[in-house]
Amino acid sequence: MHELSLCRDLVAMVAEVAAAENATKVKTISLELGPFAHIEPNSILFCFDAVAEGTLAAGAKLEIIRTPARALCPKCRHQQMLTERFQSCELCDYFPIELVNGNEFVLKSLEVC
Amino acid sequence: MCGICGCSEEVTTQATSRQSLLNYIGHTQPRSGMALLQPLLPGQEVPISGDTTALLSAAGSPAESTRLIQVERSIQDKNNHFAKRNREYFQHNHIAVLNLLSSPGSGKTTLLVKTLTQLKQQIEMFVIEGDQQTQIDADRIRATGAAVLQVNTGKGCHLDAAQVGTACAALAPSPKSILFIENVGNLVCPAAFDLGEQVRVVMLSVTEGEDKPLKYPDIFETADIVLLNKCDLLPYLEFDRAQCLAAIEAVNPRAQVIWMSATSGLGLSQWYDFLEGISRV
Repeated sequence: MHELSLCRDLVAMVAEVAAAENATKVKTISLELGPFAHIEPNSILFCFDAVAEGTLAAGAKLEIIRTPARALCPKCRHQQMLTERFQSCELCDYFPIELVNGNEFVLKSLEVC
Repeated sequence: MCGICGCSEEVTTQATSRQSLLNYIGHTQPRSGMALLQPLLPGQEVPISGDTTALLSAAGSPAESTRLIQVERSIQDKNNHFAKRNREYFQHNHIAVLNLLSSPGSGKTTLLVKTLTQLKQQIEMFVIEGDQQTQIDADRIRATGAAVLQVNTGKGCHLDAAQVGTACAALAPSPKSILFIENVGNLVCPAAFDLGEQVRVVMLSVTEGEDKPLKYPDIFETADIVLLNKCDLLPYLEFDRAQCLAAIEAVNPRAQVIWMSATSGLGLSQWYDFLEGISRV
């Protein structure tokens, strides 16, 4: 599954940031995941421990914060929250509307010591 | 009860309108107050506050002195960085690049073989082949006389931008050529990885069924062109053409659709016209 290669990139980024901060251990990794990212969060959790073994991220608590999705209607310019993947504009019913955020997969912060 | 996510909404079985089609795929997001996923370990709390639902992995060790580092970087930065570099290289050298995606066996390689044979006098073309194992597809392409490089991903389920960059360094596609990247056969994972391509082509063969754009919306949503292949077999199938077009429209109304048969030649002139058009830019 592709979450494995994303997990490797995550662990590499965590190790890079932690090393730059002279950290000896990573305690918590906070991630933000939008609902329309092509990523299954349980797969990230599944892969993480195996991928992190032997790195500064080994043993860290992984926190995945689900973020909301927002979109902009290109026709009437109305900004709106998205609850469904392919929904039309709640004001003018135009489709498709443009995602403003909701497909991000971000390393938000690290708690280190 | 909805069999997709357990909610109490009705899901219609007669998918004729866009909204009723979307009912099949709309149940993908958490309703307010509903935890979408369970944590890995039993007994873990899943706190829900406001718009966020936090998923937690294994608990950490007892309290010790810690500090917080703000990072705010996309984890897809690495692939996107290589994709950007690829795109700049392609644009600088006027190489038109197409990323071909589909499930295994839909006809990507057969279409490429036909295309390379038909257009080789008019356009210089190069191919990057992606499969877990074997050189089978590269051998088929090579037999047409075109330059090709096979990438074997091993356990990997998709090509990524770094692999494409490395392949291009070896293949050295000529300026003003067309580069086809035939991705690993997979209707899920390759959707998430920008390779630096100019055009994303998603192929669906009619033997796979008209509902696949709804079942695999991620990949169809990203398509610039959808090729509906193996149309020579339509007389032997119960394939609903209108439903398929409606399904594509529901997830991606901007996609251009071409009905074709790579083996019989049906519809290929439209595909060749498109390629000739992008090669002239």
